[in-house]
Amino acid sequence: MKNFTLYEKYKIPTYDHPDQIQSAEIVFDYEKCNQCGLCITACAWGAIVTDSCNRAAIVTGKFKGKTGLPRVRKTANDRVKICMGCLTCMAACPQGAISVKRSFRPGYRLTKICQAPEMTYPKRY
Amino acid sequence: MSSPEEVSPLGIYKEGMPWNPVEKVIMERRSVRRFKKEPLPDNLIRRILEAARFAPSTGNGQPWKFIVVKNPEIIAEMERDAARITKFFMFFYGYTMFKGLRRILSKWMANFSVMRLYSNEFCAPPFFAMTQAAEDQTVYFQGAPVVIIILQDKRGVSNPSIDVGIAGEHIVLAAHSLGVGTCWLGFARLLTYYPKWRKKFGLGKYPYRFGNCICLGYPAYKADKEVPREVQIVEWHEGGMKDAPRYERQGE
Repeated sequence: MKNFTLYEKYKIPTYDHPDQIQSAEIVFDYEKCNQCGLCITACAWGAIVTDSCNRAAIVTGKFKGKTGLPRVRKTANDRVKICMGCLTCMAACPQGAISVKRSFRPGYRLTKICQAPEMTYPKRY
Repeated sequence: MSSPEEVSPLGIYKEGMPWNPVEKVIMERRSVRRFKKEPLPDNLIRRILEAARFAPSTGNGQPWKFIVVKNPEIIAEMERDAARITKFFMFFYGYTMFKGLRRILSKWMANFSVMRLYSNEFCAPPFFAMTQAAEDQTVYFQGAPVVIIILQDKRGVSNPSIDVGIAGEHIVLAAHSLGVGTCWLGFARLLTYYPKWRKKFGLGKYPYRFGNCICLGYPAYKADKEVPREVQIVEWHEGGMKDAPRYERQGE
């Protein structure tokens, strides 16, 4: 089990620094994607956007039709993707076009201790 | 296709058996973030709340109060006000939205004030969510037809927050088993900064304080499905007092 040093215990990670916040990495299969916009809808905070629309526009009903190809939004300095890997988008995608490459792992005082980085489906023991 | 009740009846365990109906609801529950406009029938809401009434609580204290909001105008106003206060906070503290000097100043202000004082509220995920809301990228209340606010009774036995959470989870699971979508809305806490909402819902009126909030409605898309999650490291104590525990990777 991890032992925190005093520095690690109190250091707040910089939220837009890739070494201190490892954001989750989801991969879109653009060949399967039919641009229905359900991943954008399902995202917890609208991190998935396209060039033409965002989550607020879809949920409030201002945007209809094909959304364009989705991507994950980054922070203003373009270094960190704001994805926490809840994978609600993956469940919502009717085409199965979303897969996950790595999970969300913040550093320093927010370090996950009992969660290993690998991700698995629920297992029927 | 046989139904889950026939394949895995409740109350029986066989190794590797398929999910029984309760497990199926638990495993496949995903937050629903877009709802149909049609309101839920009152009796359905009552049925869901019945699950919360029979939730376990410490010392059977039932330290909660449920507020059902059905009026779309009120929900829209809650949405507006939550977004407004978010913009106010993020104007000062949302450093990941800025560049240059403003980012430096904002980061300094955040790190030396709210991130220490309210470290849970300003953890990375809610922080990103608030920056997104401040940039009008997302909405908090998902346009839901029904919002249930759970207040917590401060006088509750031991740790009333836990009891509130259990009651909320009962609501969520009961709702999903009945084909209703739900989403936890912890950000409804932002409304406690408004005297107007404190007065309307009694958010800070003794003995109550804000517990949590859940929105409900018929889902506009099929959200329920299993997803991968991180492998969990679990500590097993099987030997004697002097033996070291065994660490197991749950779910691998």
